[in-house]
Amino acid sequence: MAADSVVYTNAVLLLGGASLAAQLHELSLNYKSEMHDRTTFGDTTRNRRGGLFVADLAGKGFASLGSNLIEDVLFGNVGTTEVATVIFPNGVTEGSQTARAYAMLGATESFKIGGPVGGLLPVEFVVVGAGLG
Amino acid sequence: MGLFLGDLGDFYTTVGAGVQGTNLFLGAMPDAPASAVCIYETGGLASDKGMGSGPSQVAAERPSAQFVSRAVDYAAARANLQPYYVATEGMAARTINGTRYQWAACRQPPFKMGVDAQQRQLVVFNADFIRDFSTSTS
Repeated sequence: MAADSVVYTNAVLLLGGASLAAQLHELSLNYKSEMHDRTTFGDTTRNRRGGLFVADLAGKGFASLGSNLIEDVLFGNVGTTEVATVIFPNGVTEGSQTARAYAMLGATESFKIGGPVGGLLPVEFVVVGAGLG
Repeated sequence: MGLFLGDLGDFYTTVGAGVQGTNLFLGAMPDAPASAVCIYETGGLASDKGMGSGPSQVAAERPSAQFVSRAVDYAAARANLQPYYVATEGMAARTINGTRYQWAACRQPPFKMGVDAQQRQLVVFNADFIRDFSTSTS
């Protein structure tokens, strides 16, 4: 394994100032651009140009019930806009210029809680980029 | 904080199912007395993990245990195991020796496993537990 590979165990998620990662077991960020097709007659390949940027993140975890814990934060954020959202995929290394973080203003689109008897109470959520301007 | 078997020994003693060292044993069943219950740690399941570094990753441990009751006749072996079965199925979330136990569930009702070398009856059931991660080493 390359020395710069990462075993994904230590993500950090800050949502509106609350640190939620300890209750998460899945976290993914999806950053993409709309692609506009500008193919014309005579082209031999599909011809595209990048458009507006879109970002969203999805997470799954275990509910913790209490003030400023994951259920409280996510439930309260559904439908709100412009919540500061930051992901560190491999912990926070102060002063590092290589340990990347991703930040956006996010709006919590969905929050789901519940599952079968006998397991840790699961939660799922999706936060979408609220955009600029 | 205690290890898993020690916590179970304290719990079943507290609820009156047995008395450690007299008719309740942990990890190894002595030859006497003939009527006794022994709790063995079994394989369990992988821990539930969250994001984080070191032991803080473990959101919950999922150990399991097998309860073995031994007696000269089947009825006694079965009856001696019943308090353990009832206490396990009915175990509400509680703290034992500093570790929070969130859940316990029997995989099946007690059933006959066979006889030992002295033809004494063996009745067993298996149970799963969910508890907070314990960093105790003793």
